[in-house]
Amino acid sequence: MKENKQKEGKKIGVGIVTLIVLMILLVTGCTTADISDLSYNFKQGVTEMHMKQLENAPPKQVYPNSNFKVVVEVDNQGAYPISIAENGLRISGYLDKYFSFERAFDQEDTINYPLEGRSLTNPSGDKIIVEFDGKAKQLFENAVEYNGKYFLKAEYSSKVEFVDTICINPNLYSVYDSGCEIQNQKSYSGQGAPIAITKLEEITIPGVASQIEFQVEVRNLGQGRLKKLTLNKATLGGEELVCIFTGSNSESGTGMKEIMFQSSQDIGGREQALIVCDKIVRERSSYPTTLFLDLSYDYVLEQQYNLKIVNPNYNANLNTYS
Amino acid sequence: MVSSEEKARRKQLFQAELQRREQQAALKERLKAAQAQRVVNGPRRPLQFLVKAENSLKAKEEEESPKKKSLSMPSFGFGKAMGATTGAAAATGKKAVDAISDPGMILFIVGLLSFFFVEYANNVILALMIGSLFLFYSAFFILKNRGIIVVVIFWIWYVYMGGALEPSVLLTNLMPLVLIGMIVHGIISKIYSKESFAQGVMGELIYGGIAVLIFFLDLGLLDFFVRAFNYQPTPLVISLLRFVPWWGLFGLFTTKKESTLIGILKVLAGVYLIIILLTSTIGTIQDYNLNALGPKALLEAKQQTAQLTSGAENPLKSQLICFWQDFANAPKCVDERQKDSIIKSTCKSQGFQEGTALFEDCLTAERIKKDNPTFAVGGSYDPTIKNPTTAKITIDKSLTQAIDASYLPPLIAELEIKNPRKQQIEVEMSCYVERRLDKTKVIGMVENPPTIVGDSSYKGTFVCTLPPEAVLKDAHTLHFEAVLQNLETSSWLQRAFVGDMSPPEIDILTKKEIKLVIPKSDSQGPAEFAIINFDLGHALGEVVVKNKWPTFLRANIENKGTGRIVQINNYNIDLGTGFELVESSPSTIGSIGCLKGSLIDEKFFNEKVQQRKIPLPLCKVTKLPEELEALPNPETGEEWVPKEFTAKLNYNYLIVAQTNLNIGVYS
Repeated sequence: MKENKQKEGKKIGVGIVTLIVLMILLVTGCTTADISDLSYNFKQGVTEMHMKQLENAPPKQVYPNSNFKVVVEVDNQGAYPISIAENGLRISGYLDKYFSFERAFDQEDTINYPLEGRSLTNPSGDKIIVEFDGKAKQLFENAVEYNGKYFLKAEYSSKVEFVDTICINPNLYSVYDSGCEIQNQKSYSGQGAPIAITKLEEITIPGVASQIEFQVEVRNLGQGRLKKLTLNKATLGGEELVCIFTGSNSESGTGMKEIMFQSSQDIGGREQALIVCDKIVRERSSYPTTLFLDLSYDYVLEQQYNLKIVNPNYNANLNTYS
Repeated sequence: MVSSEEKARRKQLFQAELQRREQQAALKERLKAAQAQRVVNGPRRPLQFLVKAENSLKAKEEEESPKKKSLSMPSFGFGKAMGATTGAAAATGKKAVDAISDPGMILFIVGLLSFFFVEYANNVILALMIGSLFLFYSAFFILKNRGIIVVVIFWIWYVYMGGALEPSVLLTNLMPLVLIGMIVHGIISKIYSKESFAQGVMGELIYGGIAVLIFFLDLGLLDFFVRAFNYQPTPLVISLLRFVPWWGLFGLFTTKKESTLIGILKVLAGVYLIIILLTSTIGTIQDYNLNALGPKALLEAKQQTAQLTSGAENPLKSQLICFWQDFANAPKCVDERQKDSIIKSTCKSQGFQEGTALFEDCLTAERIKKDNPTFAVGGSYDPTIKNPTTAKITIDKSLTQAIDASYLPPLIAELEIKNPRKQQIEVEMSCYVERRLDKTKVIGMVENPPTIVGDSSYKGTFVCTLPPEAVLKDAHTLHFEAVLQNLETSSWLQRAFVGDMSPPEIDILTKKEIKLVIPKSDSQGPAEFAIINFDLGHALGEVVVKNKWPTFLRANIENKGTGRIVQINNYNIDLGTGFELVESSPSTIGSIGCLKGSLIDEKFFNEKVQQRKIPLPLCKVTKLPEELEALPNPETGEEWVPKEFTAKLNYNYLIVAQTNLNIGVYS
């Protein structure tokens, strides 16, 4: 009997410990990393511009023929500066019979300069507050309420840079070359922007003058929609590479240094593109060098909000109008 | 020579054999004595108590072990039911009564009763309470606590969090809790019962899932998904939505006891399901917007399906009647009975009394409407207008039940008007008495003069005075009529203008934005007497308007009340500025245009069977306003623009009330 009880107690103990371990795992899994290290690399992972409405601006519900403010906080959490286009930050998709929104007059110039991204000198990134003057109009007849919807959109341009040290080995079959070793395929999690270089493939075509081909996969991993992607610069050890977009899911950009995306492309997934760069290498022995890509992009971030116009004369408890 | 050792061994064996024989003889003696005693006292079985105890333990284990019984219970098969029926043929009446105490049987009975009750009550809270009760009852008593953690977590999410479908809620709140619940159940199963950890974990998920699924099905999950995903349900699905008492069936097919009664009920339930699945003629359903999976959303969806299919005769009843009456044409007969029952129900729901001329009018009009595509433009009630304009005549029947021919009591009626928009409504009352035999009329005088109602509510009493020379002898009908003049009812329609966007882009935009801003594709208005239904677009109910495709405006005036439209003073469909239209099919009656007009034609409105919908001319849009044409707008960045249009109808409307006057010689 005593032995059985001891065994049961032991089992319950094991169960409790298991539970505690699980809880700790869950809790610790939800905390964020602390960025206190001075050598922290901001150009990693997928980070981007955030925007949100401030609390009570606008309130959850408004009355007919009343004015209200929509206050939006725009926060660049990416690692690169962003430029918001003229009319780039706007409220749209609302029925003008019920609402009107206009950028507040004194806010006209607020976003006419680039918002710096996060860096060692500016670890929080630039943040601005933009105000819109809103007006609620009349309800339809004696309707009790109108549950309106609108979209907060930010259209901006930014860039992303990719740097990595890779191994070039023009003489693949050389037995005596004890230099670096080629990694045919490498994967990356991001470079501090919503657009990320996710995969790099290196193909060497040996010969008298070896040809090296790089296939670079670029993906939209952010919350918004990628509209345009431009390859500004691509170098290998300081020497320019010849690159083109190819085999992407947008025909408009194939064979060029710029690629346009249509919104229809996210039917089968997020926007992505493939850049192919070629280089003739004259060296005969292997060596490590730096591959650098500089891309700029146009991006749209969109959020949906609800706003209710309520009839002040309606008493819901009595189902009557005063 | 035998050795001394061998001798000693043989001696020992001999002694042992002697001892054995003595013991055997003693045993024989004891058995004989016991046999003699059994003859006197009955048989004595030393193991009988052990066997009894073992049997009771086995029975208890069987009852408690969900693996053996309750888990095999959801066999949900008819084979078992058939077996039960044949096996139960020999069962006694007591067994049948015992069966009712089975938890599954209790759920079957109460679930069946509530199925009809909740349908009539049409109350969200009540439905939720009953559903919750059944959910926990099933989890405790039928599934024997298996899945209880999942059920509790689900219930909290569903009731307290409104069934929120946001990924953040599902991933950060619900999923971890369910996982922890499953693991806890697995650990407890491992420690305290014979089950393995995996069995405990999966049992929690499977049995909790079954209970939750039945709960959802009962509350209207299928209805909800039909609307949420804009899926045109097959008649089979609609039948499953409307006529299956989910809890009742769950209870029935999880009964543990077997008796004739349960067997018969299982067979009947099976036959009922087969008939339900085979018989269906109900139409299609409109779209709906997915917001949340909360109880209100589910019940709303269920009610909407019920509205569309309401009054449809139970397929089982249709089948039985048609097989009895017209076996050769049974399928056609079932089809017609179902359609007719829906039409009748529609008229009843509009307030028409069965057997009256107005009811027959309504039936005819609804049949015409069903067969004629020109009446297709429909509208629906705007749920945000809680208090529409209404009017009702109530005849004081206290004095009109048995009237002595020598003394006609005062004929009194009350008129009640709810006028929340404080319209200036002019009311004209009249009355007459009609002999039921030959339809001869005696026109009465309403004493109170015409009234203008401008307040939000009005109540007035009117007395009908018949001419002194009128002699009434037998059965008559008293009619009170009120013409409400200058009533105004508006309706609205929302459309999304997308300029010259490609179809795939429109699909994405519709899914991401347009559907959220414009969830309803038809025109909406208050539940009043008459309304303009209108539609603007490339096809009926098409929300998205492109600038390159032909666009049409179609509209009709619909009588939504129980009375008659007497006159259309004017109407106006306001599309705003910038639209250019060409009338495609000019109207032949009155001065009716596609945007404006009036109809003051007594002959038209005095037709015996008044059309419930008066079609307005079709117009083709030849030009859109500049700001809607040039989209997407590169200056503002707008990809699309939502617009709301309104239509106003000013009309006179006749409402009636009637009662029987049984006039005789009573004094």
